[in-house]
Formats: sequence, structure tokens, C-alpha cells
Amino acid sequence: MLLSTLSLLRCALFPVAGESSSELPDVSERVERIVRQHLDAVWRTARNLGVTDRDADDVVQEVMLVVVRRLDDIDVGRERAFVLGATARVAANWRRGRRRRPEELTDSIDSVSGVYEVPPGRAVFWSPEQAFERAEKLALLAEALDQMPPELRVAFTLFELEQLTGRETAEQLGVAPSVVFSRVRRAWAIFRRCCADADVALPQAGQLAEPAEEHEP
Amino acid sequence: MSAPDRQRLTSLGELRALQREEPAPAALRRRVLERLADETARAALATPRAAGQPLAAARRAVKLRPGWLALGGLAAAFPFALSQWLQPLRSREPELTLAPEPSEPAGAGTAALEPGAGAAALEPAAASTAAEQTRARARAAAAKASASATSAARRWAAPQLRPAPSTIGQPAPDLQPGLRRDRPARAMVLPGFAPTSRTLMSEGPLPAGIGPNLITNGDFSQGTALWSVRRWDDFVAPEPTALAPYDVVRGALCTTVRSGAFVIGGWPWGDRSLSPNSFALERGQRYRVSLRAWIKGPLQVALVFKVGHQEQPYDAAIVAAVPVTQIPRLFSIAFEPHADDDNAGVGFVANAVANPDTPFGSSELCIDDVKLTREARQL
Repeated sequence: MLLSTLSLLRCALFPVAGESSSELPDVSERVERIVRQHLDAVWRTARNLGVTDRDADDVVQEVMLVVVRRLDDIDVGRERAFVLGATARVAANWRRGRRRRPEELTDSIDSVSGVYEVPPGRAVFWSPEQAFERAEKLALLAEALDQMPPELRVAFTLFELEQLTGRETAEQLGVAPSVVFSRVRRAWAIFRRCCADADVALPQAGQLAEPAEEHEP
Repeated sequence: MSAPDRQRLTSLGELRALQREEPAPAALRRRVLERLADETARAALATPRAAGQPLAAARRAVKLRPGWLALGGLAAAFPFALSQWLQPLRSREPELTLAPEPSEPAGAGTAALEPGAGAAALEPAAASTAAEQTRARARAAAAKASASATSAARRWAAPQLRPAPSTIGQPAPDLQPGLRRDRPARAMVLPGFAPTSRTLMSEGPLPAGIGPNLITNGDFSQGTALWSVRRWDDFVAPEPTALAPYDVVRGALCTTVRSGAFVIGGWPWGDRSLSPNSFALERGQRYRVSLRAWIKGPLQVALVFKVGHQEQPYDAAIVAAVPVTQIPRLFSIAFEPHADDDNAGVGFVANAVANPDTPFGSSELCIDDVKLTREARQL
């Protein structure tokens, strides 16, 4: 403590010549830009990785603190991959921590209420049928994700839902790209089975969804 | 209604789009921004690094936060200790420079470290004058302070970037057009290292050494075996663990150093696949360490090379700045260890000097032909 205090005072008492605060890049500006651009993706990814609505707030804040601490390690143009990778790691920690404490009743209540919740602040309002259909489809996706083992779920979420490249996903997960493709392929099988169980057909190429979006490995 | 009619069609793209229609709650966005504003200032204070950017942030935070002013007042209660601690640092600031010293003849070859000067530099502190006694007290205080630091801090100490008075505004004579030197290269001061005076590696041909190269795979003919380069983001961490991007490119070990970031490399580090992977240093024996080094990229890189004990307490036999440029050059320095060491190794620390115009740039640092040999002539 004394050492760090002395170091700090030494920095303050002996400013580096030729250096002024105005000529240095503002760290907070970059952080703010990352938050504004990627907060939605972090929040969405956290929920797709199984974080409950009640804890999503904490997980998102934790991810952004990681961004602040590791700002120097984030390459320009690759913020999205880094942030989503950090989200996966923080969500994994959250899962481990959750195993150690008993499940709370409000978790399940949140997950049920979240499905049918109409997003606040939306300019477009759905009809009851549209809202129901939308909620049903999202519930289908949530159900499929819940059935995936964690490693498949995170690969599927980053690669398919957030559309990171295979290389980016592999880097963030610390595995080879071939492993990512293998996991995503297995996750697709689970997703298809869920769709079949729910009597929902996935379109063939050229039908409804554009083929480019369905970049199944 | 037939079964196919009941089937609803969906696609992952549609589900993806549905998910993205729902933004994060505005309250969450606001809370995150508020918390990060506090955390940014706190992080800058907790780990004021050697790069100018966090230092400035720390100083700004000191100005803004009354709590730190109170802390400063607490520290001011120890004026004697503070003055004793600061005085030797002032006197030692210009010890390491990245550009040739004015008194040093250009192209002086291996004679940059004169035998007499080297012996004086490496002499143990026999405090006979008042100034030497002050320095001896400072060394003792630094040694006492470093005893409580972590192992990584002891390995290299926390380098503090200081401007080299003799180099401000003076571009190096071998400056290449592509090399930015808007801001002069800064000197690294490594407090806590005894043999740090007169430690500038000079360039030129090598005299014939005695015996083989003591550094196995110093020419990187066997890839990166025995070598490792890691990011040094946290000076108080027990050990740098995150690997920096490095590889052997055309026979040289190259690593990328981002603006304001530090990397630390070492031999041997982790990898023990080749043997011998240590060497002994004898007191009174003259050695010469040499390496070829260059950089590629827009940012100037400060490079410091070290020979010393490869385990705690990482005692240094020699710590030398390498005036690396974009032209590959062979640098060397002769030294005489002040103590026997039966388990020595080498290491280096590199820092890309942050430039306000290119805050996110990087340069590539390459080293090759790392060699340590005995020399016949005694110092």
C-alpha cells in the first residue's frame, strides 16, 4: 500500500515532460463507445447463455468492468468479439456460482414472465396474435438453447446468433476452429430436433430465410 | 387441418432478428455507464502503468478526488522517508537511455563500455563519499521495499518511463523515413537494479569469444524452444501468464508490441525442451552478450535486455537498454558479474511508446542471434 502510494505520488510530483492530459487518448471515451455499440449484444448473449433476467444486469456490468480492465488488450475493430467472449466467460462463472447456491424461486418466475414481455420503449406495437407468435418463436429458441450442453450452447450463440466468424469464436473460446464447427453442427442437430418436437419446420434453402444467413457449417 | 398445414415455418435468421428487436433496458445502460465512469478512474489509480496514458489518468484522478488528496496528506506525514526515497531516483533517472549518449562516439563498436568505466559501474557500493552513501542508502531502501513486492515485480521491477534528457527532440541519426519520432524515445529506469549505469548496448562487430554460446537456441534455429514472450499488463501480478503474439519469422523471434503496452520475454521460460537451459556466471570473468534486433512498424519500441538469475530473486548481472531501430543491427555489451550465479538466464522487456496520433498502433520487435560468450580479457 505504501509502495503504491509512493509510486502514485512520484507520478504526480514528477510529471513526464512533454506529456499533457490533452494529448493523450481518453480511455473513457473508448469505453463509452464500446458500451453504446455492444451493450445490447452483451445483454442478449448473456440471456442466450442461460443467465436469468434477474442476474443479467450483474453479468452485463461485470462484462463491462472486464472491458475497462482489459482495454489495452482489445484490438481496434475486434471489440465485438472480445466483448462477446468476455460475456461467455462471465456467464460460465455465473453458472458455476449458481450451482453452489440453491435456486431461487424468482429465477423461474423471471424466465416465464420474460417470454411474453413486450419490450419497453418500442415504437411498433404488435397485435395479440403477433405478440403470441413472436413469444412462441423466442420460447422455441430458448428451449433449444436450454437443451444444449454448455459448450455447444456458447458456440451456437456466438457463431450462429451473434454471427462471429469461426476464427473469432475459436479465439474467444480458446479452441480450434474445427472444434467450433463441430460443436455448432451438434447444436444444430439439437435445434432441429426441438423444432421438430414443436412441430415447426425449418425452411429449405431459398425458402423464407436467405441462405446466406443460415451459414450452417 | 392436415399436419403440414399446422406446421409453422421459421428460420434461425428470423429468430435472430426477433431477438435483436429487443434492446437492453435503458436503465441498465445508464447504470453501466455510471459504474464504468467510477471504475475507469479507480483502475487508473490502482495500476498506474509505465505508459503515459494511465499515468496521466492517474494524475487526473488525483486532482479530482478529495480522497486521494487526503491520502497524499497522509504520505506527507513521512517527509523524511519520502525525500530519502525520491532523491536517489532523481539522480538515477538518466541512467538508461535509448539513444547514444553525446559523449559516446558513433559506431564505437564494442568499445562503448570502457573497461574502467564498466568496472566502476559494476563496483559494489563502497560508500566513501556522501553521495555514494546516499545512493547506498537508497539501494538498501529499494532492496527492502522490493522484498515485499511480488515475484514479477522483483523480476524486472516496475519500469517507469522517463524522458531521456539528452534525447528530447533529437531524432536518432539512423532514423528511417517510415519511423515516427514525433515524440522522442524515452528512457526506461528500472529502480532496484544495482548494475544499471553505463548500460547501453553498442553496435559493431564482435570480438572473438571463448567457448560456445551459452544460450541454447539463441539463433532460433529450433523455433521458439526455451523462449517465451508474455504480455506484462499488471506489474503487481505474481507472474505474467498471458502469452504475447510471438513467433519465429525468417529465423528471428518476432513479437507484436501494441501502443503503450509492455511485453516481457525470457530464456528459459516454461519450456525446458532443450538442454542446457541455464548457464553459470563467474564473478571476475568477463562476458559479452550480443543480439541482433530491429523493429517494424510506426511506433518506436523501448527495449531493455537483461542477464541475471533465472529464478527469484532474479538478481541482475547486467541490464542494458538496446537502441533498436528499423534497421537490423548487432548490439553487444561486455560485463563482469559482481557475484557467482549457477542458474542464470536472459530476458527482455519491450514497450511501444504511445503516440497520441496513433493510440492503437503497434510495432513488431524482432531479435535474433542472441549470444552470450566468455571473453578473454579481464575487466
